Amino acid sequence: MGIVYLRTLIIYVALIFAMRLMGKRQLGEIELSELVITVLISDIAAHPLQDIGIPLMNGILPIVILLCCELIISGVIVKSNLAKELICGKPCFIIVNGVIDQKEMRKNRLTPDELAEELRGQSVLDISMIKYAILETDGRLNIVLFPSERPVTAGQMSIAADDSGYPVVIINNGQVVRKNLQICGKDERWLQKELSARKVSDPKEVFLMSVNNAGQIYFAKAEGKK
Amino acid sequence: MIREIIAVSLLFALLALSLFNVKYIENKTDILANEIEQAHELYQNGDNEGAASHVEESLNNWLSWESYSHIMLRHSEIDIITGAYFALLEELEGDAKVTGASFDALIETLNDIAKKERITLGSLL
Repeated sequence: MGIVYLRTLIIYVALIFAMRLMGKRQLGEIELSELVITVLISDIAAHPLQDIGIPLMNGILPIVILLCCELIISGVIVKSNLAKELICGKPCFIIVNGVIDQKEMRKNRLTPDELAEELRGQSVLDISMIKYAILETDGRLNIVLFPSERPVTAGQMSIAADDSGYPVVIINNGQVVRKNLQICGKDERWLQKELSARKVSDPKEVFLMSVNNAGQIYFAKAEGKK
Repeated sequence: MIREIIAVSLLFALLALSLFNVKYIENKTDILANEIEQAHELYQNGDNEGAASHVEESLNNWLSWESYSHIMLRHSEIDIITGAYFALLEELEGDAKVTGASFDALIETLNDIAKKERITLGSLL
């Protein structure tokens, strides 16, 4: 038990260190310590399940230790910027004023192909349009375009934009969400009226129905229902 | 903050339990090994029956530890020790001469469990 305890701590610290050295692109939108926990727990939990000769305690103990470590580390990260920088690293500027920082690219093991792929994913094809491209600590690449390349907003055009608000789901796959019906200030009678207007008698025939603050309704009839 | 305090406390509690467990296994295996050593002495003094009853008593003691051992020890280790007990008992109850190696092998197997749990640089790495 003591060996399992200390080995878990050693492996956890070693993995954090190794992942930190690998660079941010190994991460997939989760923080480094969370990735380490995910990798370790999934493997540790599998062993006692596969081999009944291994006591369950050998699987449970490391999982509890890892959870404690994760709670402590995430708490420390919230409280201390220095700890956050040490454990998760800090955001890196990959592109500044349309110029690629090749040193940062190498440091983060990011190839030009991968950078181009990330940019295409965000519908940016021309690097010279980019004021900043920032590789975040969770591995995401965030892009800030030059002001001249940013889409025009309604505010800049002095146009009054309609605020239709947040759409609330009223019928989800044939099930009426009564709580949401109350939230948007509607009742069953209103729902029946709206359904009748769309030639539907039973909510089960509806795949999705939502309504926003402006009262606009999105309606999709379930396929294969009468 | 409460969550972090609970996590730190739990981590320390588990560390304390783990260290206690190391001591517990050492004590338990020491008791069992002493019983086998006593049986060996009895055998060397020509008391075959006394030795066999001592080993049987020790075996019962080991088996009474089952609920703990099945939770904390690898089942293959449990089987090896139980097998070594029965092998020694069979030898003692048979006609053939029992060598000291049979006693030593059981004692060694018992000590091995404690050795594996002992925290040393070697066992950690």
